[in-house]
Amino acid sequence: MYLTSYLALAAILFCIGLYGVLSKRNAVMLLFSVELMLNAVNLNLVAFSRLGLFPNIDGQIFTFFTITVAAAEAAVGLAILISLYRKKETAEADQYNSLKG
Amino acid sequence: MNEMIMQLSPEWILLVGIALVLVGEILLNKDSSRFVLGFISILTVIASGLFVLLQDREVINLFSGSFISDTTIRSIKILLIVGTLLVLILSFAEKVSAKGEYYLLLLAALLGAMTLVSSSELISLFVSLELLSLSSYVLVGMQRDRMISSEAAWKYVVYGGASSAFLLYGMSFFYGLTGTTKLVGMSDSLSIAYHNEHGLLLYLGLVLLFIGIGFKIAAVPFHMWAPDVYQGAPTTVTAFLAVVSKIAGFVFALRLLSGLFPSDGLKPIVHMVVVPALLVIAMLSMIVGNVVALKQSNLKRLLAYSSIGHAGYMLVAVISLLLSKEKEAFFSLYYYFVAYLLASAGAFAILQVIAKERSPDQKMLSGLYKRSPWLAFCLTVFLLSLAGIPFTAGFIGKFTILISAFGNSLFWLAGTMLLTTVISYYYYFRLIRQMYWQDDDKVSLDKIHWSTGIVIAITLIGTFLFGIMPSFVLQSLSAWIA
Repeated sequence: MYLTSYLALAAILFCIGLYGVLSKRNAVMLLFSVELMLNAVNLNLVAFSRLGLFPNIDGQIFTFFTITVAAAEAAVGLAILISLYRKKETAEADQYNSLKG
Repeated sequence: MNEMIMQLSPEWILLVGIALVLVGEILLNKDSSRFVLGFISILTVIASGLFVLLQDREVINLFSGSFISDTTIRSIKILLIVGTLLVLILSFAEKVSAKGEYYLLLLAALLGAMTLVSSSELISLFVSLELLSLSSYVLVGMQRDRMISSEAAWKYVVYGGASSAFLLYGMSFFYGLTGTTKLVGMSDSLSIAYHNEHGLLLYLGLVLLFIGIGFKIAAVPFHMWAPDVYQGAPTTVTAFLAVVSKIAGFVFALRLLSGLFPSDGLKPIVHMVVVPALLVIAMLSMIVGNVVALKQSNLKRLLAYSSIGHAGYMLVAVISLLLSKEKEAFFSLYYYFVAYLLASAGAFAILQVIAKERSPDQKMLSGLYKRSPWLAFCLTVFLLSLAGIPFTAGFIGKFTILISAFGNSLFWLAGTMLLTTVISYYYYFRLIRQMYWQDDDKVSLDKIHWSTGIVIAITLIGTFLFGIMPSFVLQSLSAWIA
């Protein structure tokens, strides 16, 4: 019973993140949304590690790795955004539209 | 301990190479040439490849089954190393190689790809995949003075991040159902969970996994990032993405799918869900990739769409492999990898000569035959190999995939493959016609850089060798792997 509620919360967070990725115009918000999706997964992993079919510590260890990787990803994303911002002087992601075809 | 160092030697060498390049970049003068760093990187990659070959038939199983290596995996590693080597040699002629980070990131990406094909555990699979992806994001955005380079990197990082989240979300369900992150033994626990009414979570995890994998291998309908990223990235990086990342992505998909579903209790899922889903993705990739490529005039975009089509062909081999588990199916996939690697690397090398810093439009090929007959001839060979015309490696690759598809009664898939191959002739031959029968573009070509010459020569010889003597290559391969 408890597990279901944690999973539902994670699913809601994941969907909010996905909605953000698909609909937000601001580039920083886009990065936030991706982070939200990754953190929803962390919640899922921790819930499974405590209340899953076979509870064990592996899920929490997995979480350490995902947190670290997500941080690296955010750093790379922001760095790219800054170099793009210097060129375009806007953080509106729909202005980044010179690639088409 | 000592033994472990030996068994991981290819990866260690790459790590040492990365450290050397990092230190070298710090020590070198700001204005001095980075040639020496490129040289170190090439030596590192060659040394790593030699150590892979030295391991020969040894079966390696480290960290209680999370790092495995056998001849099959080693054969893939050789491909990744050769691909990176070609990209590194090609880099000498490109401006991005003036930065030390470029070599560092390429080596790091290769390290990620190498550990990716060896991992047999969800955490290490994910971390290796991210090492490959994060390095690629930065590589794509390397040319900061070009707007489209940064923009491509931005698109790549957002789509890549979202796809990683999908992949992880799927993995978390598989962990939850089995309580282990190791692929060995996961299948049996999964089968128990499936028969205890947890099928819904299993299907959910599977769908999420498919979305994540689809993004990584750029299969339709998750392909929209590929053309933009290929177009914006520096040409050498595009070659790296098209060749090394793609092969690593396919091996990743194969590892996950064949690791999760070998258990007999899961047979219904494989036949009812996994194979049909892959079938649809493969068909869509072949059709959309080849049809949309018809109306592309930018050569990089055209090659990007054609690579989406090639992803479809490779998926056909993956499906045959999942269904039959025979060595032949693996060989057909491997052969296709080799053919695709050689032809793509060669085509991108020529693109680099023709376009230089400009955006490579199809018109630049006009009258190439008059300006440089050799270049025109080489590009023709690579395009024919991509199209799958006899006497090139691509033909044998496609042919063996078709045979194994027919062997597994995948008639619809084989039919789609034949049809889309015919469609692809149209745009490949359009480029060839442009080279030979159109008026001159009047733009003079630079002298071909020695490094580009080497890459073109290697890929040209390889394409012919693998096209003319397939039985010799296949026999030596099967002797090694079996």
